[in-house]
Amino acid sequence: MLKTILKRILQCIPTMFIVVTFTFILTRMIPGSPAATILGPQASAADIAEMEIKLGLDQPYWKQFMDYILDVLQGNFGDSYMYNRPVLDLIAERIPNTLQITVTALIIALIIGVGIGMFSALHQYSILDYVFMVLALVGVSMPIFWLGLMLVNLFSVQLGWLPTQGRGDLAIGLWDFVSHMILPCACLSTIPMATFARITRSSMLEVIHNDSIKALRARGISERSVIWKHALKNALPPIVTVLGLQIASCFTGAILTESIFTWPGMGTMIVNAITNRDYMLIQGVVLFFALVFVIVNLVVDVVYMLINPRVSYEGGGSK
Amino acid sequence: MKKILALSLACAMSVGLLAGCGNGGNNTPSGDDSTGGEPGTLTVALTSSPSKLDPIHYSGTYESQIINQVCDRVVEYNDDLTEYVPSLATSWTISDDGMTYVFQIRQGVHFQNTEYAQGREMTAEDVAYSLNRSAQYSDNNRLDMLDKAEVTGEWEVTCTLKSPNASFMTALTDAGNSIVAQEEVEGWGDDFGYHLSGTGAFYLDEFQLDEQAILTANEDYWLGAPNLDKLVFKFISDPSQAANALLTGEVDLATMLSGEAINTVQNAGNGIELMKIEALKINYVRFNAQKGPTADPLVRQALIEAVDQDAIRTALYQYDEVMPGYLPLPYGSWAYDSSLESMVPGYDPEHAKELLAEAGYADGFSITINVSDSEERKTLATMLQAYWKAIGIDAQISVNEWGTFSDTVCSGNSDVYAMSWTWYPDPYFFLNKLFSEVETTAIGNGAGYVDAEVEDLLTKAYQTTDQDERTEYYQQAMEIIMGDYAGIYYANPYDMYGISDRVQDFVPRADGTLKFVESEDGETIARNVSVVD
Amino acid sequence: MMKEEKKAQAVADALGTESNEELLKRERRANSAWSKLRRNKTAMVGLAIVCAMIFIAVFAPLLSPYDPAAISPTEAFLKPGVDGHIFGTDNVGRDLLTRVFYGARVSLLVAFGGTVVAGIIGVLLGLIAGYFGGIVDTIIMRIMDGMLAFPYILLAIILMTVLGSGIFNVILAIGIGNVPSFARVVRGEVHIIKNEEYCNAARVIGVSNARMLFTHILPNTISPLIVYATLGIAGAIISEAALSFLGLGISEPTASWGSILQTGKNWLQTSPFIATYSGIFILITVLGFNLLGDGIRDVLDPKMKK
Repeated sequence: MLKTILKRILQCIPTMFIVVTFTFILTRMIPGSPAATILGPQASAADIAEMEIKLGLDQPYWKQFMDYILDVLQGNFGDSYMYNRPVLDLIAERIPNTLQITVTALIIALIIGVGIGMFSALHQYSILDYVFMVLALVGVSMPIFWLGLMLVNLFSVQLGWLPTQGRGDLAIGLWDFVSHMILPCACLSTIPMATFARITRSSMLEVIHNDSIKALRARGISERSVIWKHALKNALPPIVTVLGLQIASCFTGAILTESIFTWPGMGTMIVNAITNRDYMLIQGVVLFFALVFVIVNLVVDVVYMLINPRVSYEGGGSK
Repeated sequence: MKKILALSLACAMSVGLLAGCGNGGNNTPSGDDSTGGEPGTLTVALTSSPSKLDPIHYSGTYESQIINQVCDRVVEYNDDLTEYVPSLATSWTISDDGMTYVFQIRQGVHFQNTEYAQGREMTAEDVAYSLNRSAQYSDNNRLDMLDKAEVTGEWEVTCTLKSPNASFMTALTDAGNSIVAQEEVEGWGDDFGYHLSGTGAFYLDEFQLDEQAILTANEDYWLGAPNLDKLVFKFISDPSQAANALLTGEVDLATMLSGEAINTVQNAGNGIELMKIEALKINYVRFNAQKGPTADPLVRQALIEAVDQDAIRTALYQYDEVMPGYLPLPYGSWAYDSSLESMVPGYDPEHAKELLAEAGYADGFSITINVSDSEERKTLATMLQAYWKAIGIDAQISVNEWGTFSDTVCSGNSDVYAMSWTWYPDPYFFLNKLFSEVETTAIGNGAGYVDAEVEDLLTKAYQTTDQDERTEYYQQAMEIIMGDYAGIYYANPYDMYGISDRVQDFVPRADGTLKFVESEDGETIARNVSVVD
Repeated sequence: MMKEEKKAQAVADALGTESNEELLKRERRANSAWSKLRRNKTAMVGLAIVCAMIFIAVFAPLLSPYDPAAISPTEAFLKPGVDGHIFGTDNVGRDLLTRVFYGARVSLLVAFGGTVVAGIIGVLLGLIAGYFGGIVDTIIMRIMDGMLAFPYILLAIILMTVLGSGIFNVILAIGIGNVPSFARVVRGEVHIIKNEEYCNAARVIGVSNARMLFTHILPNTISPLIVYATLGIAGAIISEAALSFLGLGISEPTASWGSILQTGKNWLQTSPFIATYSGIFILITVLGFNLLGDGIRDVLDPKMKK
């Protein structure tokens, strides 16, 4: 198994190289010069040309690319054009903020989603089962940016209960901290929660109707133990796979959610970076997102193998 | 728990719907105050997050707002922006050829008590150092007319220009030309912007990107201690959110309100008021003067006459955010000439069609309107398209975010574009920047308007220091420009502020600069903003 | 499908053709994907929603009471129901119902178009990678992995910034963004199919590669593709709306659900209905495609059902 894991890690290297190359090409294709954007509308053509030299953008593309690759290999992701600071510092500053809402949202989604899924599976065809499953269907189809708008309109604009934007501060008080997180987390957790509920339900149903579970029941093992110890354990693999996918898509969802709630995380930073043609920052953040994606996939595969040893691993790629 | 959540989701959706059908705008702000309301603390909402606070690197107004609190400049504009008042310079003289400026530097001013400067006295060397630094390294070349600044006496600095330039004094009032201490700049190196310090009324205490900047009072400020203990700038990009934050007490002062946010503030009650002041800003539409059908002044005249500017203003601005505009200068500018207003052709689609026929476009033509992706611009483009369709012109709308938009305009590839312009009160920053031949590759004159006579007048105007003479030149240039139908300058906007009644003595300025400790003579404090509870 | 036919043929042979023609027909009918689908209630709800939306999109000019582009500044922000505007009017006085109907056209066009673009490119790449294997496979799939590692919405945002707004560009951006998933699905299927006996047999009798790919392998990947494409359309509708919401997709004065939503965002307080209606249409349509996709999956490939 160690060999498989090692092989998977090695496979990530060309993937990351392709991501870097793509990002480099795409950023250079964006119309508009970073220098002009940084200097603002009042800059003259001479100012812009001067700034381009300062940023190294007067160099031919291949040279810029080689320099960037060599820097990245040495762990240097360059300096952001608009903040004049190392990209790594900026990312390090923002990661905790993004994790704050994504992790919270995922935990909420996991607890409630799996809970609902278990409940529905155990009460199959009950009214609540139908209600939950319809809600879950609506949940997976939700345009979360629209949900965000509606939530802001209701809870902030109309009712005035919750703040509209920004990140709270623990120094001001627990409520300030929590209240700022409620709407973004509600928004972010909708799709994963619905997905967990659906996958848990179907996976549980399959397991419950399985002969081995029926056998356990027949042996007189308590229902609670059957469900929590045996059934849930056997229903886990698909849930873990989905968890992996949801972690990745939660980061993507954060890009939209953060821009609705002006949450100062990676999402707002990348959107700003694109608007400001901050090549270095765009490259750095995309690389970071890709890295998260690749690592999450790797971890999911490994965990999958651990909890489900019957699965032998063949061929590349994740599911 | 899960039921509650599922329920609240369902409720959220259904109530959202109901709110859609019923009458919206029913605000019941709760008493949720966070930093707002803290004694002695004033919280201000800025529309964008500063990224670089080093004076030579900054590029946006929101950045200058913070630099201005932390640092002082040699001179300042007075409240109505008509004259310069002493600040770190007590007096100055200008040589007859307009090449040499001699400043007497104020004694007894101390730098803030920070890491390297440690509260030492500011000297003439510091002034010369800061100005030379800006002249050499400013990203935006904010002092590129300066050849050198030299210390010519214990408290005297002499500035020599490369050539006479009337905008030098204006440039000195810019945040980019703030006076800083050399050892601070060198001590922090590239990080200076994050540890900005100067001689100003407030210390930069904490600067969190995209979140806030926290400033604390400099009790030893040379004009006297500020009344505020703490000044917090929060960065809220969406004006509606800024207005909501004002309602909930999260902020005390919201800047640059627009659209629906104005309505929110107007109807807020609870001691929240709307403040407005004529801004040094014009909103306009420009036509490509070099390429395509719009290169013909007749066509441009037709395009102007086809548009009902009153209707456009009514649709774009529901809350009295603007005054009707006519000329490529804001009303507040000293070169404004109301006698030229009548040169704007009135709404006359029939005559417009005749003009088109006369120009050889009886069957119309196709053009593209470029705008950036703000709601106001998109609506404007939609209306222009409808008006021009009525005279047989097929206009496509191309909406892009700012970077792409400005690239298209700068490269001279836009047929028609709409934007706004704001800068210093000196007409140089409007007329030269918008109509001079040297600006055709910049966004100011991306329309490519070129006229030899106008060029000559504009050049003369900035090489002269006498204001009457300059007024004359500028008004002559403007008359030619108006006669060439270079654009539609449809609005002169107000700057809109939302302010809580706990803020005392705050007065907005036409240039949008926020001043919390202000002097009219450089000797005593004229206004010292405070908060009461 | 092929296997089933073969089996049916075998049964028919055994029983004698004459007496069983009728039986065979009935069984085929009962087993045909369509009748299975018809028995799947949720799928039928999904289909009904999808058909309704397509109907609205196709007949928007007939169904709509107004001109979607006709501005009327004096009638801006009318509440729903006022003056015959069932959904009210927007910020320049255009009828919202009309714009939502016309929006269906653009949103569905973009979603279908994007999925077709992704489908064509993705299927070709997947077929080639899966069939030829080796270095070709490695190169194609590493590139696909690289694109997949790019967060989808981020890739779309950057592509839109590069391309500029507009219907065609959104189709392209959504299409390109979805290529890797299609390629992956097809490649996986090809891997399974190409080792099946009839493929080996065909190879032995010397069928050309192209013929092999398009007549023997491609038809067998259709089932998962249909499922994937249906669900992909749902995703594409959301993507269009998300891009337009960020100001990068379809923009004024063209009506799409995303662009209406983006306008509505600015008038959330005084006229929340603008954002509400367009969002509800997005939600319902996406729900419809998801239901339909799930249903088709259950019918076409019971193994895929978890």
